Amino acid sequence: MRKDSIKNTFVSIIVLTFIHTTLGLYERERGQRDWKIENLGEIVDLKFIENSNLVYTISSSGLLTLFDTENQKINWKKQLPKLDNNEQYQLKYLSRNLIVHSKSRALMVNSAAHVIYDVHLDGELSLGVPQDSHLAVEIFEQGGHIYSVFAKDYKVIIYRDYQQVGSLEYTHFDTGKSLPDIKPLSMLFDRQNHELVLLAKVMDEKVSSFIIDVSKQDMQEKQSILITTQISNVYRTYMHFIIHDSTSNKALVLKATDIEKQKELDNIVEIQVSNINDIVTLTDKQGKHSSTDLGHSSHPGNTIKIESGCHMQRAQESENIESISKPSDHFVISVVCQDKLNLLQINDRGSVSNLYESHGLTLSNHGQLLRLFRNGNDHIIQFQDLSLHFIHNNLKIRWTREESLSLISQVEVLEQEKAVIENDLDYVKNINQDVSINQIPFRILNRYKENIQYLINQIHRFLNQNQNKNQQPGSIMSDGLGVTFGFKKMLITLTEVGKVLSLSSIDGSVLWQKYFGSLESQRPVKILIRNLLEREIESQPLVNQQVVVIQNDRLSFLNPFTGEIVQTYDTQSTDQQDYILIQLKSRGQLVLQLNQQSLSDGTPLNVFPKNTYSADVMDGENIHFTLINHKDRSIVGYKLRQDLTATKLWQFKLDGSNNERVLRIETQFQTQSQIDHLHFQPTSFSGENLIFKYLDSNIFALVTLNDKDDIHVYLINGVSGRVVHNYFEKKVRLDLPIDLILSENQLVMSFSRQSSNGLAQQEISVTELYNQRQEADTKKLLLDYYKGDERLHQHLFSSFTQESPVIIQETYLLPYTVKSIVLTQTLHHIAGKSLIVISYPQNQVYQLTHNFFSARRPYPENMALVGGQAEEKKDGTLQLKDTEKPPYDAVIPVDSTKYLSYGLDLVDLREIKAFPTRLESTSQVLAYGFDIFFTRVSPENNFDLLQENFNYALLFLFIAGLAVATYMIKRHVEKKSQTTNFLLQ
Amino acid sequence: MSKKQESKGWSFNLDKAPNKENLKDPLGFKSSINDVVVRNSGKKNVTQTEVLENKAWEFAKSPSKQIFVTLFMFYMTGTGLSIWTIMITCAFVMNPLKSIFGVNQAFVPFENKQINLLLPKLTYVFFNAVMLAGALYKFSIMGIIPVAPIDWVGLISSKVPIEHSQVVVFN
Repeated sequence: MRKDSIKNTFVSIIVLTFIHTTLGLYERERGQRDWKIENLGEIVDLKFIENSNLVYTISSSGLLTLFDTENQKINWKKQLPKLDNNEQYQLKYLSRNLIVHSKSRALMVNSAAHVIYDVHLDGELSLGVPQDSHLAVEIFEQGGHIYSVFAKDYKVIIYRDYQQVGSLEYTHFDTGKSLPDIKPLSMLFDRQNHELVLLAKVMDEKVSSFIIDVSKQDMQEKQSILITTQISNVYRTYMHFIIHDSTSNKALVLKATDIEKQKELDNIVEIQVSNINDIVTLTDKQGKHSSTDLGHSSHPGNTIKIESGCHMQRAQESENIESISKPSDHFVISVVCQDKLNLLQINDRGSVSNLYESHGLTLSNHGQLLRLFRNGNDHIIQFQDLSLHFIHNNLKIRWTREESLSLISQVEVLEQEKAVIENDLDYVKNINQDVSINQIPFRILNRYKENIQYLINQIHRFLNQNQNKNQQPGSIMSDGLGVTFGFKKMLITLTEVGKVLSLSSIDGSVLWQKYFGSLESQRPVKILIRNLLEREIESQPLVNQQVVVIQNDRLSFLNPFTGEIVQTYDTQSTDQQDYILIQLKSRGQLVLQLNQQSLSDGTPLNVFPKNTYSADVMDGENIHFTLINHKDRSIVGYKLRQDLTATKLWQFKLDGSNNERVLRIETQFQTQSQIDHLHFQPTSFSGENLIFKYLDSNIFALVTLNDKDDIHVYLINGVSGRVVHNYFEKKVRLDLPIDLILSENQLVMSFSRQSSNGLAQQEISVTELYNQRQEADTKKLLLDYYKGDERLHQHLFSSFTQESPVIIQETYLLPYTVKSIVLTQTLHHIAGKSLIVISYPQNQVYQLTHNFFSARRPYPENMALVGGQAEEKKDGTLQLKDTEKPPYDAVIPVDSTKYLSYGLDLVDLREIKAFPTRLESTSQVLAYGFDIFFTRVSPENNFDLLQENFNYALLFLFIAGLAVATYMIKRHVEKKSQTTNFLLQ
Repeated sequence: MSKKQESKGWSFNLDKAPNKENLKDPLGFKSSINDVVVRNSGKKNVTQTEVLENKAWEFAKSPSKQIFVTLFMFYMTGTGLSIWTIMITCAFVMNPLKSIFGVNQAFVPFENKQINLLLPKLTYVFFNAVMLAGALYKFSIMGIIPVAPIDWVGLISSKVPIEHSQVVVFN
């Protein structure tokens, strides 16, 4: 009995362990398929919420968020309308009340993202008065109530505790004919006299101060002074107003309680102030910084000594002004130099104490300081490269965020550890090569050998992982199979602030980043990823690619895995120049510099890296390029000779009489660096027949716009200059997004058309190109193959000899607006394509399956005719409509299960790209803009995918365990039966 | 002793029987199997050879009875490619094939010098061939038999252009 119960317990433990491990597999897979990066952007204002880890942030693009500094989570976000003329939103925060305001609008928002009230100052206040006036806002506490007061032009609106209690108008100046010309400049609540002071410019000649009594709802002019200078900016400190004229570099300091007591400051370029004291930081023309306490006129100004080449920024305080009894006597600045960053606290007497020093945050790594926000001992710093750093308790950097990812201008993709995989697995290396039939058995055997080797490696890793479980949890899936299946890529991104970042496609983490500078001359214009030549790989194994960063006057070659600069070349900067990669037959690539001068003179072009070029490298290469010049509206085809001179082959000009100009260019390549000829599946099915796609990766699409706002689309062969197809679209709404994608033989364009009822309707037009021939006779096909017919055995063709295609085109309506589109790409281009779109303004990523947007959908009225396949076959006509597809319907319905971003709150997605993986079923999709979203798409389901983190080793061990158990049980049963037999005899 | 025994013994001598010729054989004894007469519930009496021949024909025609069942099964399983349709269709291909190749073995019980089994065997093969044809037709409508050009798509390889072109933009 006891023996049985021990046995049962033992079996139960084993079963439970297996169940636990199996469940563990699913647990680890969670969140593996997609990731997102939610950015805060360039923060223009930030307020700490007292006694919590939360901060309110507002970005330059108008994104308001409640952000948790503890776990870096965005609790909520709200996109406010974008502002014109470089205007920014500002925050005013008091005792958990937040006001977000611009020149035309103010919102009171609570901590749950609800807008409590919304003051539209445009509609209510600005009728008939100049638009360039300021809005003055003040929030303060009086008599147990929170008052918020908004002044714009001739009107003042007062709110008490979220309720509007009154609005005042200037009637004093009203002449009856026109509205008074008053521009409120700033407002300040004088906490000593409990008076609300409004500073306003009256009639372009004088500045007046008004006292507003919020309880009596009364306003009286107190004082006025004549003013001669221009007003560029008005600052307010604890008790003073400062009027700054940036043209004459003069500043006028006015005491809020008595504006006649004024002080003039000369030679001031920049003023930094704080609400919680009267200490102002001034910067003069020579770049010297000083601080002055306006509250104590007896204190002389102090010079802030900054080393030359360093940059200073004063901290913006978040301290609750109501809780301080007197103005603070110190302020904090941050100084960043080439080799370090310091946080310094300076008091009104000028004595300096160092709060924090860092040698990682430097000018060369991150650029100048943009903003510094302070709350007690916590500081949040944003640099010019938009990196955001949180220094906690003046001790350490708790986190760093790369906000430049909200401004990505170009993305290139690089297969991580490609070299390593190609060395490991032979079949991956030969994936694009043709195989003869007699090689197949050897290749199968070889594949088996590789798989067994792979399994052994997996078991090793599995055992090692169990040993190192505490140190590196979950490393097996990201390092092992993610690479093999091609899911692990590096996304090399160029941002508008001049920073290049490398992201992992597994989780979006930043692998390395390099800042090149934000100035026009420093900012990289383009990045490329180049395959090294064989001789270069020999000298540095394990790296077979390089990242090329192109600045106006410099070319840098970076190690793709570390971001270190390997080589640099200084180049001449000219107006009309561009860089492309040229692909050699050996799959190595060089960077070609093209400039107008060399092309018109016929002099040799420059190739980089210079030391790799020799005349034999270019031997037998057929390299062409098409030059599209926006200025003179010309499209010119060139061929590159062996001596690197370019010969003009063909040219055409756009229609000058209609002012036709280039709007968009779209090549077949997803990114600037993916220029390898693609090996597409050349055929498609038409019933039982084979039809041939019109494929040529040298074809590109050119979209032009003329004065009548017609859009003209040309498909041009870049080698022969032949216009393969062209069509135009009328009444296209140019204010709404237009995007197009050219992939294989398919051109998809999304645009909005002005419909007859005045509304915009979203359309996608799909154009498909096919060859004129088809395969309809099996016997002939087999015989021709056996005889070695050229059409079946020739692997190369010339773009010059291409026939005209047969075109099929359809247009569909979509019930949502589309911002950007992409077609999925798979390794061998066999699996069908899905169209992935970003819907606007919801910013959702949506998948359209191929059957819906194909131009081959048959017309319902012709279904019978199309169905008559036998007749079609006889007369030899090409049947392009596909009866397998659903009949044509103008509107493509929305399927709510096809939202890849499943309702995530993503902000301003602008572009979308798709990359193939090593699994034919799966394509990776990256949508980026302000936020970034990455996911995997299987257009025709996962027919070849277990899971990339499927534990092969565990499976093997399980099977081995079963085998052992079977053997043991067999022996046990035999023994038992022998015993029984013996006893019975 | 032996005489005693002999004298005590008894024996039949049927030679002396008056109607010796009309004497019936013992129950169950037949000098030749051809003389066996089968009484077939009211029908006329047939010989063993005839019975064997009948049985052989009956066996030869037996696959014909399954044809309709088979066709009905084909109809019910549909033309979709799934493990069940393939298993069932494979079974319906294998069974006639087995029967055709095992035709001689199948007719062993009916072998007799006086019976020619060629025609029954041919009939048997014919009906099995009909079943096989049905299964093949089923395969063809399932799209498994490579007779259309689309089945040979693998013979057509992708082509790449000799020239390589790119687009350069001057603003």
